[in-house]
Amino acid sequence: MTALISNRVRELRVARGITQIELAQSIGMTRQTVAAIEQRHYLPSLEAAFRLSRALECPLEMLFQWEGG
Amino acid sequence: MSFRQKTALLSALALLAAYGWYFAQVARARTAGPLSDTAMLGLVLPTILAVVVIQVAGAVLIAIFSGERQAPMDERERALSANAIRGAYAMLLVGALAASASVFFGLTAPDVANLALLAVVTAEIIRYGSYVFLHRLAAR
Repeated sequence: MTALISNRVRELRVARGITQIELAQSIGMTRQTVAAIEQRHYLPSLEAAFRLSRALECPLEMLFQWEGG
Repeated sequence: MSFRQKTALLSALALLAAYGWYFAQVARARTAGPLSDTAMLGLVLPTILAVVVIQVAGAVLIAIFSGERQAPMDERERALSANAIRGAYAMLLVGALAASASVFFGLTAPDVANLALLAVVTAEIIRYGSYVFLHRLAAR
């Protein structure tokens, strides 16, 4: 199942040289959940999205994009 | 597969194996006549012990070989766990009602207890199994 909301989590994480485990630990999630978010298999809650935004130092609207038309 | 998924799968298999053996023994003993309380206790105690030993030893081995530890559930895992519990609860409800209704069909107290136990064990297997299955499904 692929969400209608795309994200740049993987791109920004790799650019910052952070592993999935490190990112997961910094936002209080499991590595599997970070992987699911990156693969668009899971839509994080608003709180988790803000945590990701802060951890990756990227504004929320730049991190997630609506593709639903 | 995360540590929690591995231990959930282990728990489902341990319950399936141990209680599979238990209910097979009960069915065999039941064909000879009504099951006594002590006979039932003699079967259920080693079964419970076997499940506990398998779960504890298995969790230790998984932790050693995978290098992972049990971490608190995050929001995604909580959602998947809640879905797994929903399915198990439906099974438990049906099983509890069936066990209660069996009183009207002349079953003995140990038979009713075994039906209730079957409902609990089946619900637990569904819970653990669904948890793993839902994780695999969500990853597609």
